[in-house]
Amino acid sequence: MSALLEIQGVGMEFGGLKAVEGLDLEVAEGELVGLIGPNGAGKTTVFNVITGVYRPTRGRICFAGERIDGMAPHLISRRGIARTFQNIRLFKNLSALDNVVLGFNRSARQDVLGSMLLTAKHWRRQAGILKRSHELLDKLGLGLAEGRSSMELPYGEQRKLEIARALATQPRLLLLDEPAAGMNLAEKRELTGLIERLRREFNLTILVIEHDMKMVMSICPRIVVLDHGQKIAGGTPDEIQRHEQVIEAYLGEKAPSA
Amino acid sequence: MKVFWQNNMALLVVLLVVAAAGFGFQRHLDPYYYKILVDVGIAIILVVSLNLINGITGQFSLGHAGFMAVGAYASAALSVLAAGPWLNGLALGGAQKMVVEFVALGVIVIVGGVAAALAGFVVGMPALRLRGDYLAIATLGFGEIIRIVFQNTEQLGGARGISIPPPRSDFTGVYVCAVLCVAFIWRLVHSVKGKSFFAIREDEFAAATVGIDTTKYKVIAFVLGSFFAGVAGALFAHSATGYITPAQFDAVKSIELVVMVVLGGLGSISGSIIAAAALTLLPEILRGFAEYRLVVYSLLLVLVMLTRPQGLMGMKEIKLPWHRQPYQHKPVA
Repeated sequence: MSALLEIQGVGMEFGGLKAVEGLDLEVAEGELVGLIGPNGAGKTTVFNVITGVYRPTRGRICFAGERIDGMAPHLISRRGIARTFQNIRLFKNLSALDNVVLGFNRSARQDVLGSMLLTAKHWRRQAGILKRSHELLDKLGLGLAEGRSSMELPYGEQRKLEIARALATQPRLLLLDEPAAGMNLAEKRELTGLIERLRREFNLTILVIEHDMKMVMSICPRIVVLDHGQKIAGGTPDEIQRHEQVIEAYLGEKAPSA
Repeated sequence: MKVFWQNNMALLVVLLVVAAAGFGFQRHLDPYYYKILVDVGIAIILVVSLNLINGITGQFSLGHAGFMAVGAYASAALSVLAAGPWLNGLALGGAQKMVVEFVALGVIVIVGGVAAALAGFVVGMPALRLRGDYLAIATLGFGEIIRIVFQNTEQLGGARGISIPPPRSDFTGVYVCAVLCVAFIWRLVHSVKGKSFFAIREDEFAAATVGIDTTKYKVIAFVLGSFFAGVAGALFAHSATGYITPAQFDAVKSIELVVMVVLGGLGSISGSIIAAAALTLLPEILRGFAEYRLVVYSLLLVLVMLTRPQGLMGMKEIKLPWHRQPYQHKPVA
């Protein structure tokens, strides 16, 4: 298995602040990797660097063999990386269906004239995208919500809609930023099942940031731990749970035995 | 082909009705009301096209009068230098004259639109890197520069203004343009790809992460909006008065248009049409109040914005019964 995503020595500095430092990370095709760490460890910054929101100040990022660091976000998205956001960023005033339709937008050619004259070709193309959008919403159990504006949806459905929008871009790599944040136990259980199901169905490689340890430990065969912008550990859930530095990062240093 | 005709039948019928109405109005309507109707039509083109930029794409532009000026002066130059003398030389009469003048007006209007679109592209490319207030100030500055350039171009009459020979933009000409402007912008932004304009307004950053080339769409909105501003400018220049001065395209005009967009509802095309009509008619209706006219006008504006801060229509649209949509939402559960 070759690496789908290769991060080599990536650093991201904001002025004097080193949000990420010398990060190496490889994600192979089909893997499900958890990215954990205390608050402010630089997890979301890693996502922002991968998706082109920030240009890393050091290092290189390759996706499917192509260098993507410094590329514009929309170009990276077209190469097959999709993401969700920690604080949901849907197109609030648009309907759930429109949100997904926008995810599909790169599969349609822009045809200003065709859309103005409503040519038959344009009409057919639109119908195709709409059919796929309906199907995707149904698959995620959002079929009944499609006509409502996305900000009216219950919180859990907004999270799911964001995943649907990301899937509509037909990604190979999906980055989930705290997908379970703010969910109750039942919703979390449903989400766990959903992630597994989508991964198989869409042949996805997933990198997930999550604070719920129980969830991460149960779904991710491999976990990477960040602290102060540096990778401090990587391995199976068992290894991580016993890793001294990880325990230290989360719980603080062991008190010297009196 | 069948789909194409189904999709466009209603539009054709509307255009024919407009042409017929124009014919009737010209003969039987009081010239005062006729002029107001023409003004409303021009205002509709301006406000709907500005809504594409300000409301739908969320790029706050304060330079719409500048693009209108480019269209007005480009078309004026064409008429004064070429079209006017040429039409005069033909010395046509009756129905023949009407048809030739209508076609000539079409060409003039398109030239005005293209000139404004070019200006929109040149200004938009650098200016659209700016956001919010900065973009507003940059476009405001551009509008003023345009005005001052025309003011100091003696060949175009300078500050005195310029008198424009026929063809005249009558009801038919103006409303054909208005209907096409509304239909094209509506169809564009409600197409699958066109939703990207709304997406940029809602969350530019999220739009980029789903693969939308945000710069490209902002430029399309800006260029298309400028095109129709230019069309409106050309129609305005060729309206019954046949005289334009640079002072007519000052920043106050831009702000007036922004007020109409906001009043109608940012993002609502039907709202823009209603606001353009209402705010063009209002000063005329208030003529009876003489010097209190502007006070009442402003007061009404303040009242509307207090009671409906989202604008008259918010983001909602009035849809016509024969309106064909590419898709229908399932009913809300």
